[in-house]
Amino acid sequence: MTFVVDTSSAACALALIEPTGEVRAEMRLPARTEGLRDVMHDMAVGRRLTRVAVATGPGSFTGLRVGVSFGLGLAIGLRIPIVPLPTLAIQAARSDDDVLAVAEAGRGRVYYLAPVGQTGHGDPADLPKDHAVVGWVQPSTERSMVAAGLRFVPEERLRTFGEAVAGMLETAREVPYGSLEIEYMQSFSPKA
Amino acid sequence: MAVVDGSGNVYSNVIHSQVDLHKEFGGVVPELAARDHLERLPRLLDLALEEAAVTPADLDLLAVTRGPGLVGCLIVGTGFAEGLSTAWSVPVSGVNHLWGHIYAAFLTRTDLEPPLLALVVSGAHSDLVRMHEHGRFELIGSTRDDAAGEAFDKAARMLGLGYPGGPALDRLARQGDPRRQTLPRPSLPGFEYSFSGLKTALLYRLRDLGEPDEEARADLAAAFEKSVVESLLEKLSAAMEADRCREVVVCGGVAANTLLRRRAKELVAGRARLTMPPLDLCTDNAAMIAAASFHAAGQRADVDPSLSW
Ligand SMILES: [Zn+2]
Repeated sequence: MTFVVDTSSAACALALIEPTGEVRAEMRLPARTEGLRDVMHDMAVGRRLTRVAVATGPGSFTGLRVGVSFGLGLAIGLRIPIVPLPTLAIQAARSDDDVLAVAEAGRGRVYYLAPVGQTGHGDPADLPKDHAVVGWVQPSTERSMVAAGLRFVPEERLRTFGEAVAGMLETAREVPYGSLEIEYMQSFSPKA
Repeated sequence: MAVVDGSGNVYSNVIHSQVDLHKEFGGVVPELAARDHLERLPRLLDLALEEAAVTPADLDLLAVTRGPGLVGCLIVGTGFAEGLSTAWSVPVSGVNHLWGHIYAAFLTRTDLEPPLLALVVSGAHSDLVRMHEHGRFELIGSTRDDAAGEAFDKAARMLGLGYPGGPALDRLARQGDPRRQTLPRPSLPGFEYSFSGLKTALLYRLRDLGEPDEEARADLAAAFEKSVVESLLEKLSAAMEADRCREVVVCGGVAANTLLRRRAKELVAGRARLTMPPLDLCTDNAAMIAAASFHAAGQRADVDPSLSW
């Protein structure tokens, strides 16, 4: 079973996924949830885990580290593989349509991943507006994005976090424990 | 990372110094520090277990620093420990890094017991502390501006020495004579320290000298070091007078300084028993955190970047 943790977004998400791809459990909590570590512990402890998957950002400097470091400790402790998953790719995988995947970048700005693979970050007004939006941002950020003419895909029309990750895990590759890299605000520059 | 037993035996105590990483920036860059931690922790864990020749099944407790320090690094450390704890079903205990420096003395001398008086000097702290009993500390004096280690780093930079400044200044000072370039000894009432005036005095002296030669620089290094050390020890001595105590501890990264070690021995001799951890237990290390966890009741590993005594 794979334990999945994503603490990079304005919401954090946990999931347990069977080797068959079936989502055994999943949970979405507000970012900065008190006792998040207890919740992660309760979900992971005593399970027959075979793999840990962690969302590697981009995201908030501290939030991201909570999940990644816990996942790394858990994987090393159990001597099972660790799989990095890019935060924006998870959100993009929640839809079959072309969408603009976003994550909170702080101070009202957002990171985005466009369907053609173009990444960047900027103010809501500067975002590409060709596609509907998928992603978890602060309510205030969401309001200014809507005000800027962007449209969010309703949650109920999307795959759940766990379902999206289950799909990605079919092809996701593990990395050596010491090469887990996280993408954070300052280093996340647009790539062609 | 370290493996330590309840009797204070250190089975392994491995350190990945971030000095090289931060050298080119002339100081600690928080983002690099946290990122580097994530990459180094796996290897450090392997080394610590290998060197100690133990397996996870031999461990009863995981001790981890919960503060004070850089928030990104603390989150990575505690998160990693919590992950291991879940994997191994071993409890985690969050430790105050400052307490760790004093508990390094308990690894050094196994019959040491509180109450004791401690001078904790590092890059971030110059604290005079009374330890009344295990887990109970009282801060009686600290610095108003720079910590001693910070002052050494800044002086080293002014003298054109590299980072980290402390050891470089120590080496240069060994070749100098403080009497040829006297600098003021900072003195505040009570148990407070201040090193900013001394720093300014060094800056002006360097300006007056124009291009000081190697000898003058060594003399200045020696004078600066002497002023800092005498100031630290003057307050320690006053604290010993104010409230007699049989045990004195001088610890923290700056307690690796040659002059401070020598002068502390002279000052305390005949008045109390002095314990100074060896150099590798003075500078930041994990064995001291383990030592603190045995004596301090189980604290949650909640991160607190500005944790105090
Ligand atoms: Zn320290």
